Parts: sequence; structure tokens; C-alpha cells
Amino acid sequence: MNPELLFVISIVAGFVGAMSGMGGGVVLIPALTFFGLPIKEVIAVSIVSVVATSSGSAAAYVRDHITNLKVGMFLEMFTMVGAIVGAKLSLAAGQQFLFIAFGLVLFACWAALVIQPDIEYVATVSQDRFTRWLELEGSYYDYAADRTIEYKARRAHWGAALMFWVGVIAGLLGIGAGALKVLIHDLVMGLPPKVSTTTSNLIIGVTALAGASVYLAAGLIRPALVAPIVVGIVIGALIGTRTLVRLQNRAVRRFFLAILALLATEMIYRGLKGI
Amino acid sequence: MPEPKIKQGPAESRPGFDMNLIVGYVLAVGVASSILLLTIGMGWNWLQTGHLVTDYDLGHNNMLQFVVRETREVWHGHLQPRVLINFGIAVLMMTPFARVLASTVYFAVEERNLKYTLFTTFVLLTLSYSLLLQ
Repeated sequence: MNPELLFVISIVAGFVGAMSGMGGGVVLIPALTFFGLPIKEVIAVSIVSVVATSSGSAAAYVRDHITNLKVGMFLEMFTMVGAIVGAKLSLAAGQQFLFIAFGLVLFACWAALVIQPDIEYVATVSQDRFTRWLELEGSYYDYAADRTIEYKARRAHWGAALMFWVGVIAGLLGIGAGALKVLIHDLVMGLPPKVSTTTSNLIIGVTALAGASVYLAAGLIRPALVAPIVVGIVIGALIGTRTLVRLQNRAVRRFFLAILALLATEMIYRGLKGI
Repeated sequence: MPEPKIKQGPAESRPGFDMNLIVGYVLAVGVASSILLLTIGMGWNWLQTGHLVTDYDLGHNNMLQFVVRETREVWHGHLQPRVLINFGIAVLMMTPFARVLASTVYFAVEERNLKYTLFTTFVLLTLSYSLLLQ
């Protein structure tokens, strides 16, 4: 495939990924398979691009002291192992299975993003013993509210178990699966929304690296795909993030989420009809 | 419904080195360097061939072999578009690894937190295992 075209597609994927809040991988994989690239090669290159986009945004949030490093360190033990398992499964899986699995996971991420704005943050009153032992609590300075917010996490054992499976999904399909991670942080572990989003970004980078190593060893990472895609998706994500800050309109986000629902349907359809 | 506990004013600054800043800079420098290397590599290739990148295979190396090989190429000054692109990918791959390494050192040396030193060591060992997968 022409590298210049790859570059342009990746800019669009990065842009749509940032506007929808789902990340570039979920747009990149349907788009590149549509142009005839084998899904396993596309998954491999997508997971490399996830390292770039998640580490780039995590860098900014960590410096703002919003990310909870202890939550991130604890949970990435599970997502990382899951990603290695998932990537190994992907190498063994058939193409049809991957198309259908991708479509279904995309729908799950889509649903997570649709319900996320309506989730009300419930602060933890009494922490369970295990989560307290893990020291999963913290504070951050909320610039909009001009005050420091203190919080405590809860149910770390459930968070860990679920995160393993999210890691499997990330490794299997080459995506960050940030929407699912954020949902677990919010609903299961009771983290404030800002902390859950930023901590999820930190975890995604390490998770993606673990998966990418499996794909590289299998000879599926081609620099001719990686170079234009990584640069393109980072540029697209930067443009998307800046545009999103200016717009702050729920209707715009709904439009991009509708695009993702269409992509999910299309991937399942292609999987069912044998690609 | 219980409200989050709040207090007025900015967060207190902690003495000693700030782990958040170190992690943030490791990630920012890693990603920025990688994008720069990939961009220069593609630009150079475009000037030579008229295409952003030429297709070639990395072979069946593990991640560590790949990183060491490309670093050695750059170290010996064998600069060409392909080497810059490969080195850019290697730098990108090593960025989260460097972040985990920095976190392990922080928890072991600065915070002296045995629990999190063990957790980060586990992450580091598992990542190292994944880098050696063949």
C-alpha cells in the first residue's frame, strides 16, 4: 500500500480517534483492512501506534499530577500479562474471528463511551482492607474548581481481575481499550473521572509494548507501515485534541461515536460473510 | 450521596525529586525523539526515492535484539533512512520500558516502598520477558 496514502489515513484515524475519545487504533484497523491489508499486520502496527499516542498524552497528564502512579503500577501488572496472552491468541486466531471480535469489542467500547458522561462519581467512604493495603488513594489539584480533591479507590481485587481481561483484548486486537479501562476505574474502583482517564493512558503504553513485542517476534511489524502510521496518527491525535478543546460540544462527539458504531457493524458484517 | 473530600488551595509540593515530573519527561522525550527520528528518516527516504518509506522486513528478531542492533547501527554512524526509521521505532518501544525502570528506582531508592518496589520489579521483569520472546 502506498505510504503517502497510509500517512493520510492515519492522520484521519488519529483525528477521529481523539474526537470520539476511543483512540486511533479503532479507526485504523477497519480502514486499513478495508484497503486489503491483512488484519494481523494491521493489529501489529496499530499496537505500536498505541504506544506513541498513549505515552504522548500520559506525559502531559503525569506532569500535571493528576495520574495516580500507584494505581497505574498495580493495575498494569495485570493488563501487561493479559496483553501477552492476547497477542499470542491473536497469532493463533483465524481472520474471521478477529474481525468479529473487533466489531464486538468496538461496540462494547462505544457503549462505555456513551454511558460514561452519565456516570456520577461516588466517592469512597470506607476503603476495603486490600485496597487500603495497596495505598490506592491520592489527591490532585483541580484547576477549574481551584481546589485540591482527595480521593480513595476501592475494590482493587475486582479492578485487577477485570484489567487482566482488558489487557487480553488490547493484545488480541491491537487497541488501547482505554474506554473499557476508564469504565473499570470509574464504576468498579471509584476513581474520580480525571484520575481514571489519565491513569488509563499511563497503563495503555506498557500494555501495548508487551503486546507489540509478541508481534515483532512473529515478524509482523513492518517499518514501511509503522513509520507513516505512527507519525500520522500522532499528528491526527494532536489536531483532534486541540479541536475538541475548542468545540466542547456533545453533538460533535455523538457524530464521531456514530461513525464508530458504523465501523463496528461493518467489521462484524465482514467477519460473518468471510471478509 | 457522599461528596469527594476537598480542601482549598493548590496541592502541597513535596520535597525531594518529583516522580510525576520524571515519568512525564521520560515519556515526552521518548515519544518526541521517536517521532523526530521517524520523520527525518521518511523525509530523507522521500528525497532519495520519491517515497516516504521503502518496504523491507525486520526479520524474526526479539524486541531486545532489534533494539540493540539498531542502537549499534546508530552508534557506529551508519546513518541512512532505514536506520533512522528503525531506531525511531526502537526508541518508541523503549519509552514505556524506561518509564517503568524510573518508577522502580524511585520506589526502591526515594520512597523506600517495598511493596511498590516489588510491583514495579514484577512489571519490569515481565516486560523484559516480553522483549525476549522469540
